[in-house]
Amino acid sequence: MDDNKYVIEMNHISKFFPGIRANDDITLKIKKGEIHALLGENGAGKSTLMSVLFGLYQPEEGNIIINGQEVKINDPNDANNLGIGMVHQHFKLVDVFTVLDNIILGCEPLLNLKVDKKNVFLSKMCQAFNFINKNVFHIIDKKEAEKKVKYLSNKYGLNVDLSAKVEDITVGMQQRTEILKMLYRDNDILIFDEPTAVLTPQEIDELLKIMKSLASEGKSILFISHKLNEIMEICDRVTVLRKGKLVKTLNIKDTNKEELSRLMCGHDINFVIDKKQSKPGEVILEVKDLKMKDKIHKSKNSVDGVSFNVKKGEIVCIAGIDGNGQSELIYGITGLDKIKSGEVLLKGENVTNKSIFKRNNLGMAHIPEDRHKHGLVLDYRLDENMILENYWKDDFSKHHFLKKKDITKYSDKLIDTFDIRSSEGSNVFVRSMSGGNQQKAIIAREIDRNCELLIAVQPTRGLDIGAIEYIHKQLIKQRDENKAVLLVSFELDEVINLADRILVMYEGKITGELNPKETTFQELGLYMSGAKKQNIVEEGL
Amino acid sequence: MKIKINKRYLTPFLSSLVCIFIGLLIGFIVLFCMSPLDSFYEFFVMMSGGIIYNGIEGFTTILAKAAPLMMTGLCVLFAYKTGLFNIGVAGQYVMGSFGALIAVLYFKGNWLFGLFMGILFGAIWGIIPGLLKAFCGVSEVISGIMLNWIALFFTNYSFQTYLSSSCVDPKVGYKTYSVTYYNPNGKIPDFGLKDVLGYNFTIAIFIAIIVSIVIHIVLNKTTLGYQLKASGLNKDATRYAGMSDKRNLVLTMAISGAIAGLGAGLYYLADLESISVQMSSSLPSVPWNGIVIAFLSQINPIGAIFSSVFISWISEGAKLMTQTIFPAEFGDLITGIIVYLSGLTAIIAHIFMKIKNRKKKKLIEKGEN
Repeated sequence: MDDNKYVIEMNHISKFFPGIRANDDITLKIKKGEIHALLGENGAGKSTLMSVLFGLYQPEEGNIIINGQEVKINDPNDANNLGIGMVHQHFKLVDVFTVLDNIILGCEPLLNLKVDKKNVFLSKMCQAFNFINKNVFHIIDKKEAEKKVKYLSNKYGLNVDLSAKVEDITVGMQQRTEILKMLYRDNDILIFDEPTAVLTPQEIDELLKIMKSLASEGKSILFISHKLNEIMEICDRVTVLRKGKLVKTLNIKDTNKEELSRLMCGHDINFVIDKKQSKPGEVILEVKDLKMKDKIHKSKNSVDGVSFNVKKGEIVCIAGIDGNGQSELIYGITGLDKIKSGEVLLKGENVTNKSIFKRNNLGMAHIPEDRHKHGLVLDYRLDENMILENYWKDDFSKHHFLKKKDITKYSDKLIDTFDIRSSEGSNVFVRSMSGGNQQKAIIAREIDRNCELLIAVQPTRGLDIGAIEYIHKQLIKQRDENKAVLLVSFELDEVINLADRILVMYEGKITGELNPKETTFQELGLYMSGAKKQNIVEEGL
Repeated sequence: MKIKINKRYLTPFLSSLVCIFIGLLIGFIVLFCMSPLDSFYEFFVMMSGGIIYNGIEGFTTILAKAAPLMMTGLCVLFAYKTGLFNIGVAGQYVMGSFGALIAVLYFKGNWLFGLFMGILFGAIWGIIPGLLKAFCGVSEVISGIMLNWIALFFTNYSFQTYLSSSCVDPKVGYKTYSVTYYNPNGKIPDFGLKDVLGYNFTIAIFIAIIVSIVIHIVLNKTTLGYQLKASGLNKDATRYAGMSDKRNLVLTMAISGAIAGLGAGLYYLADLESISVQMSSSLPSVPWNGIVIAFLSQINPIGAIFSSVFISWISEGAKLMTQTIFPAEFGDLITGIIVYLSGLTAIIAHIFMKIKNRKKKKLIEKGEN
């Protein structure tokens, strides 16, 4: 194959972060006029690779060749000048501006009077005005801008009301505005970062049509997605990444969904945990028809009628790809966000409108998804973080005064039993601890609270294998001590290894309940990418 | 153990000193430009804080004026510790002065009742922006600024109309009665030490220091301080942990306002000044200087004790400079510069760290060579 055919070549890109190889020798080549899919799980290195292409990160190794020339991209402006545009997952629009203003923002056409050569005086005046406008006034020629945008929107079928304010239009329209923004800047290489995640099915169909017409006009499109159906429908080729490494680049014609999901998730299992058969007891947590409002897309529900229960002595795992409503579901159960409708019952008691404090004391422990946002006060010492929920209990305070010695003693005990490593023991500021040890500290705190329900969201994200294994063992131990464990994970290994029951979440609904002993990675992958669904919502759990 | 604590406070302490030093240096340069010959002596006068002229009396005046400053500084830093910027300190201070003065002049109460009323009114004026923020999401900065002016004009109006017969002395240019003469019980006591230590001496400074220490203990040793500081550092984590963020927010603003109100009590009940009923179309300077003190103290209650004495020292000294050459506002100029610089303390601390690291690197390089 001739090298000149490629518009982008990213050769042997490697990018390291402390302790992680985010990209390890990845080669990605995109042809002119093709739709190329970039497929991979969370943490596979897609975002890092795109950040390298966009100039946000500098790669440690490898080079980037655009249109046959080696380039160095230092910042997003460079990328823009090279004709690379991106539609981010979270739109970068000014809400109170009109669509047109948003499109031209940053490269506004200036008013440029046409010079009439016949009249010398007038032409001189026009020239003078143009010069002053260019350097001093910067008066924008909106008509010119509108003409160009209208031409583009007609050409590609992107219907948007240019005079409407962005805050008033739908998410689908906002996305079109983003696309027009790229086209207006004459970008030839268009990157779509999970564009369908925020759209309704109808909007998705239209978007896919638009992408096809863009490609047929000679634009090259890089389509980042987890959704296999969409990839199979519109893409020409696909590059699969896993754990920072390139797995394979395939022609869509030569592959199928099963193969892709296997390549994406990997079939090698890191370690098998031996665990006994679970003996589920009484129901601890019951969720009935829970609905949560979507924060971006107000008319949509991020959690759309989810019902399930968790019993004593079992690990129920909610599997699924990030962004399908898992975080919101947990926010609803734990009380961090208000729910739209539905009920949450904890140990038979309705806690739907109860405070977090009451839920915690009724027997809910929560290992949060974002340990820095929710789990820890980073500028508190380790011992102060260990009592975050229990500071008011008699063990740690007397007449509202903290018992420093007892707190330190308690913290030292946890450090010992859970093998938390820090440079100064209890006295260290949590900010200076490593991510793994921070996570261990949260897990120690939550497990030692000895609650009947343990909710763990992504407990092993970003940790090394040793820490992961340790945390898995702790979760199993909790189950064997007859606690109810609700685990949310995006890692298939983790899901299959730990769960006693798997619930798959897709687009805010539970689309399948699977038995980890009977299911396979492939089947799970199909459920997670929405290719397969069980009819359990109607039947009820 | 002792050395460890010192280390933690050393960098902020040093960066504050650097701020003060640069502030004074710029002040001196301005002085020098205005009048090179006089500048050295006048600068010395200012730095001596009036002690060379007035001796022990000058010193007790500095302390007397430091007490209310200390309180307003504490007010700002207490709110700041919990992540709130209480710019409504001025309004709380004005309401505190209103409360303290009506208690003493109108109700003829004693000084303790006066301080109590000051605290009460300050607290109420603090609760309002707290409630607005907790339940309506209104920024405490915006509502605070508006409430400042409401407080000022409410006080003016009250003293000009329905309280004018009982509180305002028409003989001395429409100011409120001097507490010392009108209701001696209402003045903060000096236990007869006035004759020895100067007419401005009261026990206000000791009250202020005790309050500072109490606030230090509350912030660092109690469950309340634990919660409030945590919500200042990471609001999401406190919600996650089940702490009641709304209650804490309102409580913080109430305590913060109460401290400001106490500060007003310590100022007006020590009879350092009377409120001028007609002229006061601007807010008093004491609460604004509280913001300076809060930042100069590096948000540390014990630091507030020292920084308020320093600010008071400088402004008292500036008053004694030859007014024909250098106006008394010169002290304000220097404190103003220090405010700007105290905003930069983080950068100064960062520079300290860099210098340290460079030294370390050099040592390592030397070792390798």
